[in-house]
Amino acid sequence: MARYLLGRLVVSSISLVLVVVIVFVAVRLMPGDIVDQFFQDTGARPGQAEALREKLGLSDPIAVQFARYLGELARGDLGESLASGRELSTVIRDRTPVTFQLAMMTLIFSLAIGLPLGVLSAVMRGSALDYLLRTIAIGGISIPFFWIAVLTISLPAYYWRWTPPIGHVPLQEDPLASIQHMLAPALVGTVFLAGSIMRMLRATMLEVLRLDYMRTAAAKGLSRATQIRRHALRNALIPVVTLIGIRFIFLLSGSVVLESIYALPGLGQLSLDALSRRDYQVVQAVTLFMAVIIIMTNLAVDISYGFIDPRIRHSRA
Amino acid sequence: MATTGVGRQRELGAGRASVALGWWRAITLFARRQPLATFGALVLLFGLVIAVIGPSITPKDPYDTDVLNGLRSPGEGYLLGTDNLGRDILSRVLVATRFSLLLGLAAVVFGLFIAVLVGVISGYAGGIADMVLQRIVDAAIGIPFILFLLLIVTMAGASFLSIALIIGLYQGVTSSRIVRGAVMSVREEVYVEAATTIGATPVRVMARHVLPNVIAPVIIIASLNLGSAILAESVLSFLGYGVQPPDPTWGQMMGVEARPYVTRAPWMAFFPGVALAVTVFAINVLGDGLRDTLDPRLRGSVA
Repeated sequence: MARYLLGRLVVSSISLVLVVVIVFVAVRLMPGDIVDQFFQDTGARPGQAEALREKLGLSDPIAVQFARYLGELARGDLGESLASGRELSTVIRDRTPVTFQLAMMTLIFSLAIGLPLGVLSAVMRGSALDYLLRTIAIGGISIPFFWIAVLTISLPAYYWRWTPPIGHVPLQEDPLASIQHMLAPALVGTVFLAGSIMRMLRATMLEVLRLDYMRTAAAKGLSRATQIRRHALRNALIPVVTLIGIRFIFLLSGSVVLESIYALPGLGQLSLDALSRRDYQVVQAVTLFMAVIIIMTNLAVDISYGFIDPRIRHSRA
Repeated sequence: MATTGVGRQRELGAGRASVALGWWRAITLFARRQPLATFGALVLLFGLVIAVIGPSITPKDPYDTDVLNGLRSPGEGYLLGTDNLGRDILSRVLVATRFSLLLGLAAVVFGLFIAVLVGVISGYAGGIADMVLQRIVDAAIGIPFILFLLLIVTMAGASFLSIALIIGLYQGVTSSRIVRGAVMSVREEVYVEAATTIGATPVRVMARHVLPNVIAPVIIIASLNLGSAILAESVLSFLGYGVQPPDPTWGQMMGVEARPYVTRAPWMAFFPGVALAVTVFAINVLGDGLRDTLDPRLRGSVA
């Protein structure tokens, strides 16, 4: 197990280095830089733009900039925002709880809805209810989430002059208000994620339900509920765990759009603003941070197999 | 239905007709077994027809601004209302169909090419090639999709071609895993060993023996990726990073254009979204049906 972990960590760091290189080069190839944006409206006196670039270190050759960036990273320093000069590790620490809370609330709602309905759909296979649930699930993954998000604001506002609360209240300040403020975006994410979980669970439950040990469980007189809970569901959950890992990543990515619609000051909004402002440092720091989370999530998913299914023990790396 | 089939069989001669008959039977069987998927196929067909003839059946000029008639609610004269500049929403939704569908198709075709190329090389060659390619795949999966799209599209400049290529590249790289898995299991089959034993070159084995056996997962990936490609382009346009106005796209209509007016004109965002949702729903139910029919084993692996 230790060897397996070590191997995986080495492999993951190679991928991380690739992410760092790709993002570093890509942001610098975008048209215009932060200095152009800065002087866009006011106009610059001759030499002023060059002086600012010099000061921000943007006039050095790209290789020099990259070496400097790597040096900072090696010391555990994410650098400072080009626009505000703020320490990025602090900025990210402030922003992360917002994105994380949104992802967790979405995940909890989705499991609460997706798991029971997925099981129900599989157990009632072929019934009208099954057909209805499947159609709802596929609808959930097809409906554009940013569309529903806009509608949750625009329809109530137009017809009842009411909108769901916009903005963010930190969880530690007022937990109830905080959850209330995040209810709408979390439910919008749930439409997609719950549908996705229902589909996967139904499919894997159907595979498990026709296996021999299910017949054995029935033959020895276990109640239907115990058969499902103890024998079928446990075995059907493995692919669902993978899926939840993949979808968690999707939630991080989707936060870019949801946070912008609901004015939530999380990582998604931070990266979107930084991208349009050409604040290279912020884009690099946020993508690197998210990539670490994503790669860790994938690793955690793989390791969790061993706990859910003792037969998988990672003897071969 | 069966009689026409038999009639055609006499007309055309046995060989060709049995193929035609086989297709017809397969389609009717599919329609009976998968009513929802058939519905999806019909809706998609309707979408394709709109994509072709859309610009010539618009009730108004989709580009014609008429500020006096701005923000008109759906009703007489303007079936789906007008936007802030007085442009007819129905006409713009119809015109945008072509863009969304074509872009989705282009992205998927390119993505399939990448997925098969990477998946087959990685799965069949193994060793160093596999190791290197898979690390690149890991890195691509590691960057949040929407950020990656925004970044690369801004870098390359937003055009139909660049957006299609970038979405296709991302989808291809990420779904190459499924092709790789399929190739790795086919590689162990006896007929591949047999072909290698009698001296077939690796390229020949790949092209003649491995590829035909991974066609099913490839078709399934294609159908499921089409929906997400169309959604991905819409997210881009929604955020204002897509192709530039005045050419309408659904995402741009409900995002950049509609968001300043969300509380005053909900129809601006509503109707393009309906078109998008219905299209993606149709594609997904069709993809689901195809998957159940072509390869029930794959159920779950590409949800």
